Amino acid sequence: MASRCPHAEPTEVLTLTLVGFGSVNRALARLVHASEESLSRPPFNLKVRYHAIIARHGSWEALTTSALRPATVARIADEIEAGVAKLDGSTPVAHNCRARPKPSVEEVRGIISRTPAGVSVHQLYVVQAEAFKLIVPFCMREAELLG
Amino acid sequence: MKLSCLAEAIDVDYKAGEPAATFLMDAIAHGSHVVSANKGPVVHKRGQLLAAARAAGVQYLHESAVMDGVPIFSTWKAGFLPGGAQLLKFRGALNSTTSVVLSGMEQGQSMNEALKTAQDAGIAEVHFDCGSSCSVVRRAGLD
Repeated sequence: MASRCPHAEPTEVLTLTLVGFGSVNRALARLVHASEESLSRPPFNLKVRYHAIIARHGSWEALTTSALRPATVARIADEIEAGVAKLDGSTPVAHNCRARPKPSVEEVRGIISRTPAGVSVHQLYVVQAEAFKLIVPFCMREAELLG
Repeated sequence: MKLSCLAEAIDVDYKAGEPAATFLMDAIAHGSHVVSANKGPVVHKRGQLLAAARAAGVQYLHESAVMDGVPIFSTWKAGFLPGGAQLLKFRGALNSTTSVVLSGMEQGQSMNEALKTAQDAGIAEVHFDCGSSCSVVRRAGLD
């Protein structure tokens, strides 16, 4: 029987939305990018994508799930810190992203509402319970076959 | 499987914790985990946010709201509280800028050099409200 490759583990997608893009979230963006490779391997198996980065002066919102990658966000963090880029549309916007100058509170709430929803802990339990329901009869049948 | 997380670090509003608290509540209602570095929502809406997060099956984490991530909340919740501890009083430097400046001066830096170290590390606060920090710690200690 072929053994299961550890790299065949399902990859989880973590969608991040950064509200505020000052020193704290810019440092987070750099950390995420620096950790991208290790996060993609077991035991994490995590692929990080951004839905949006929001600052007072402007915001970028991804129009597709893979538009805002960690490298892009880390680069724009460095450029904003160096004063050579902005999120208000004056800097060329990443492909498949929408820039908005000075987003209002309502616009930020709209961006949050469009963030792809994740699996909650409750849903995770349901998924595990459903998987359990499938696995138990399968194991019992296997056990019967094996005598 | 998909996970969603909102990381919030906007300017603090000491009077009402807004609009950060609204953003956090929206994200929780939407099924996102939320991580916040903001004192305002902890002071004004911590109970509601924790209840909403529990109901939605997500996490509201705010460890870095005070003392830049020194694990006071998780240590209290996972260690002291289950052990039967009660918060009677606390004292110490509640902001990291003070800690970094004092540590730097202990190691021979001038105050300005030590302050520059804190600024370069991105932790020096422009306006620091000690009352809010005390309120955050007190709320965490009473829960």
